[in-house]
Amino acid sequence: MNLFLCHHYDASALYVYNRFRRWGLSSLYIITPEELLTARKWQHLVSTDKVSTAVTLQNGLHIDFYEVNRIFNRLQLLEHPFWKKAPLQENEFAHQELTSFYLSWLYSLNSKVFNRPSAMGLSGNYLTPLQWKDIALKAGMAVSPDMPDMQTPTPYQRQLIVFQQKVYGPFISKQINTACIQLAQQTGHELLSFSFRQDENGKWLFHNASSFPDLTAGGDALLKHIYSTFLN
Amino acid sequence: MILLCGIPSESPVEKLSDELDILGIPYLMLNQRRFESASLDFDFSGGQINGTLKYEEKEFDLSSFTGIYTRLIDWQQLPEIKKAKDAAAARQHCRDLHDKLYQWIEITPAKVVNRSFAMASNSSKPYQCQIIREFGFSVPETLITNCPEEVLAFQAKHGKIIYKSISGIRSIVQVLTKEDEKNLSRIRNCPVQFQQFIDGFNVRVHVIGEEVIATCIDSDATDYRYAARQTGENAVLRPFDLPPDIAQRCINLTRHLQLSFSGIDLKFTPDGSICCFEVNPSPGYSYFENNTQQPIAYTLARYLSRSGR
Repeated sequence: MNLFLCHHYDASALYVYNRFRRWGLSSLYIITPEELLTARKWQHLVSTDKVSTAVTLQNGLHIDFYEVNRIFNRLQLLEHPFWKKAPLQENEFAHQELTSFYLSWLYSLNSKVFNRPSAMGLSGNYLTPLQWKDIALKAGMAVSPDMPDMQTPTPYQRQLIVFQQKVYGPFISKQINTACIQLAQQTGHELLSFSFRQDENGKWLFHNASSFPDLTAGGDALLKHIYSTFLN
Repeated sequence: MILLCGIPSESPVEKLSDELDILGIPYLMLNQRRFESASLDFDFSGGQINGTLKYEEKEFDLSSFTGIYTRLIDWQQLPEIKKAKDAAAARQHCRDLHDKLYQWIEITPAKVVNRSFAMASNSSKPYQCQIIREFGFSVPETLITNCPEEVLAFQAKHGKIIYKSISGIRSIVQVLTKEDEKNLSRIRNCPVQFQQFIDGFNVRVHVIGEEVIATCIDSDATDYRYAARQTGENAVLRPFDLPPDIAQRCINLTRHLQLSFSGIDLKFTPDGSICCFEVNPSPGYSYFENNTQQPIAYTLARYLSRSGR
């Protein structure tokens, strides 16, 4: 069994799912956070010697995660329909509890998961825009002079994706490609997107990076690379 | 100079600032409640990030801070936000200041107690338990479920079980009683963490850099922090000599989690094993120091004042 964990509005993940099916991956199920959050039964056991997890969804599908071959993980935000109606404080508590639980569960499946979770994010390590800027400067890139705003991201003009030391997307320069690969290696990211803006002199400036990219931005070449990694 | 971030009257912050005063180590107390007089600005020219903190009409180059101790509370809880004349502007300013502060703390070359990414492992106790196991400690058998029948089966296996929050949000550890069993259907919409009850005595280990200060807690309470409420008697705390190999394991675990200051909760069981419950990345150490006079704030002050990351 192979699982795609993604939000129903994650167009990028759905695109990848369809490609993977077209390329022959069978026994592939999409499971949304809503299905997981409203599951009939969860059982996650952690002890000194082992960790095991099983879930039974409302539709009766029972998944023992020991038997799952691969998981393509795109989980980010967990919003339980039941708790959305609760007072804010209770809703926030439930949100924290559920996120903490899912982190433990996904972490226990580490070797099988594409987009491994970290304590900073269910689908990978989250770095702040200032952290990315700091790392980009240390990698020798020119950066945009404005202070990144975490709440209202500013637009970019070009996006590159690095996956396992290969660059996908529009060509900007060899120097930028090398720096992007170096930066991904340095931060321990297998998959990373980089956005750039051009200044008034036409110079490309590093804008931001993300470990949760729009996977369609790298075209089928990127998806085929991800597919072969996912299978092996 | 050392930068303290938080509320000056909060006990761990107050104890540290008192100790810095005694030692004559210069520091700046950035009081969150005075956020209106503070701002942070960055400059990205020259191939590096430079910054300035303006606070109470003084300016500080961010590179002048060589040590940082942070006990920031959620800025949205600050009473001054609610009292502000222009609430929208105050919220905006406060949010921007905290966003910038959190981001800068992650990248500064200063010694930081502790960075957010390092503290994050404690946001999920069962996740952290999986890391703890790798350092030779046993962990209590833990079940997270939304199924009442599974809880009862788990209880039948272990006899006495407790429940507590999964996340870093503080909860009072409670034994599952007959009365609680009647309410088990409430877990359907949010899985809850249950744990086998471990018998033995509690030891809190504070690791500061490479130094270890251990405290034994004598109490019959399920959660000794609430001993008076749970048993009618306060817990009795005393200094404890930690075996050197256990002390080293605590240092290694703290280092692995990239923390420079931690509060590790251990239980020494009657059969001689040592169970580790969690690693607290922002320990409220003052409770232990007040009861034992162990020099935790002193060690922390010295640690922060030493050069090097």
